[in-house]
Amino acid sequence: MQRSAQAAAPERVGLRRLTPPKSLAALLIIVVSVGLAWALIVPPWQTPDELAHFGYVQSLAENFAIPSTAGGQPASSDVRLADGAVGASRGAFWPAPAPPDWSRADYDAYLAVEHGAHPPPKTDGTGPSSATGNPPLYYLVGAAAYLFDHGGTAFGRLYAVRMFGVVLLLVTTIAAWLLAGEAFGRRRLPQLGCAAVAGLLPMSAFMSTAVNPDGLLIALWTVTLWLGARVINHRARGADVVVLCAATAAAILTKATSYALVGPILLALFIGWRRRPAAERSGALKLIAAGGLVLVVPVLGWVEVASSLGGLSITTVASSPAHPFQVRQFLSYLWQFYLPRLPSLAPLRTTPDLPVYDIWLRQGTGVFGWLDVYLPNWMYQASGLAAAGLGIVSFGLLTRLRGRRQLALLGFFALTVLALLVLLHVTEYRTLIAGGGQFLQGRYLLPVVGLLGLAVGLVIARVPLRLRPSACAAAVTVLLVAQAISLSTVVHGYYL
Amino acid sequence: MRRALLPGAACAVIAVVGLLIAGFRHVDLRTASAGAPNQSTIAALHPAQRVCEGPITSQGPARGVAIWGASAKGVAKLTVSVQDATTHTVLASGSFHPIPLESDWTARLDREVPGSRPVRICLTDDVGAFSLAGSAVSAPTVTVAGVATGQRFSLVLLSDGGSLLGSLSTAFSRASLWRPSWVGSWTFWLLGIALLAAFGVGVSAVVSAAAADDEDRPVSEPDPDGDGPPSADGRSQAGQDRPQPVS
Repeated sequence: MQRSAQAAAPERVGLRRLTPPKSLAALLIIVVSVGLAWALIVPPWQTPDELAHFGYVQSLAENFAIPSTAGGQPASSDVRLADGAVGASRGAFWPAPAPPDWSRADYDAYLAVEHGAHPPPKTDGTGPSSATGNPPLYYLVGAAAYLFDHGGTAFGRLYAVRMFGVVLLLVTTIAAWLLAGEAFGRRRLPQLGCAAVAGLLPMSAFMSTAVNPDGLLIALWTVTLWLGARVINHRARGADVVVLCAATAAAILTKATSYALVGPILLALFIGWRRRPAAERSGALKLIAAGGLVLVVPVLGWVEVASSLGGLSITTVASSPAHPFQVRQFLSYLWQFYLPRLPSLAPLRTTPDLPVYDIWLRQGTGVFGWLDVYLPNWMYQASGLAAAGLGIVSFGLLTRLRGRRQLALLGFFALTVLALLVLLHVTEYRTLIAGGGQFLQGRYLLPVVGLLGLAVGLVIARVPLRLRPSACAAAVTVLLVAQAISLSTVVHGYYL
Repeated sequence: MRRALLPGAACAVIAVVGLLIAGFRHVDLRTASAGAPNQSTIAALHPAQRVCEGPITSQGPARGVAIWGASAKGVAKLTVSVQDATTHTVLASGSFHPIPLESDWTARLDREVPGSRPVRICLTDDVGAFSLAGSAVSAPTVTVAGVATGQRFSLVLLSDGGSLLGSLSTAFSRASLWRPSWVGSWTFWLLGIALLAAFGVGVSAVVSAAAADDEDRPVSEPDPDGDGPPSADGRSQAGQDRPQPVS
């Protein structure tokens, strides 16, 4: 991890600050085309829980209300007509025998109803769904995109929200670039490698362009990681502190998973504050307190609103008095997640193989649709080898870090990953002991995709100078190949 | 510039050529589907038992039928016949030999079944028991004989297809349905071309990044904390974790 002062590109001043460097601009062009491909090629409502998330967006756009009316329909008549016509719910999980309807006659029949004298209402999807407990920020932003094609068909509105996801993917990419800038300094090759991972990882593009709060979540976490690094590097400057707290609040208002960010950003604020000269610390505390208000007030506001809406959940961590948390059992669960089960351990596993492989690696590499469209198996094996190699090399490089700032950044990043993992594992453990099924999915690690990018950037930054362009080119090429294979897998799964 | 351009271009060319070669692999093309997910076992077929489903209209000539399920024990044998939906005249037939593994099983037909003709698919168990997969799907125009009312078995009709690249026009035509009005097959062709072009744009990104790093290296400023990392060219500095050359 490098300081920005070293090996730096010249400071960009004035309007030049707003113009992206050529390499970033080129990457963003790629990300836009790849994002549009994902947004448009995936059949309607064939991403995780997309019907429920779209229903939430539609309810906010049409009624400005969270869909939570007991007894109400979870999907509007408009969506139900479209869903039935294309066979979205019918084919969810089973794309091979029940692909989307390919009949133009059926599509024309749908259009005749949609454009007829009595089109189905869009406002009657007021009932609760699996998305109801989510905070509203993504859906509010998505509602603005929804209104772009308000007069079109349900499909037009769905794809308008999907294409808004391309903007989120761009934000993720730019934030990863900036994050690498904080970690390595203004060094374009590592920055490019880091940003390419965040923007071009197939699952990142797939989820960002789905109607799903994960797209905004990934973007906000990456922004938060960048801002946290900035707070540490620049000694908790006022604007950085406020924006960091605002980004964290936005992340919490997007998905409850983001409560995991609170600990890491407190650490970043503390480190940034401690790095100030002693004389400035008391003044800086006021800034940090102001930042705290920016974080706490909107979150408490949502908690209050959620309570008034009938006790919507404010966290994904389920609690059950009948199944209390047991530390030994939790550790057993963790062991079985990452390591082969010992004969003395009671089975507490949700996948046939090691969950760390089946969930984190396979699903993180790419399982599309409703987790029902798989890549060729060799892709997962190659991904496993690449991940292991990257992990070993990164670990070796990180153990050589000595500088206080480097270690502070490392601590912040490590705590972020740890907090996310703890929250996710506790949630799944509680789900399992309560008799529920598998909770975790590979995509739940995407909020820290920027850190995966940093690992790639770190390797690029540390290979011998003459090999750096080759290393970066190899990383970008591998990502583009993965994109091509993933998109062709989706095309094959749904349309051939 | 050259230092970045050559390896980048080499990576891109190798990748594009590799993808194009992979694109020539053969794929079967689904020409029709009963629209029934293989959610559960809807019937246990025994020798001589027969189930039929139809009418189903294929979008193009079909040379195979895929059925979902598993044999109960050992290798079973089942025959699929494709009949005219009105006259029940057998148009083509084929067989498959499933094992006790839940999967899709393809029967290659002895004759090509023309597209756009309503057909009925019958499945006869010849040897061993077979668990037939399907689900409850409401489709008033389709009738099923031999299974419980309201149940339909999973099946798709397959053409010989061709290469993946050769099938893209069909795929993009299908993908352009149920989209915003401005989307057509052309949109997906354009995005496909953009994806190929992305390899070239990626090379230009790497070249630009390498050039920018070359221009700016080395720039070094004193580190106020004395805890700075190695410089951009990978050499260590004072205060770093490695022994420093003394001049």
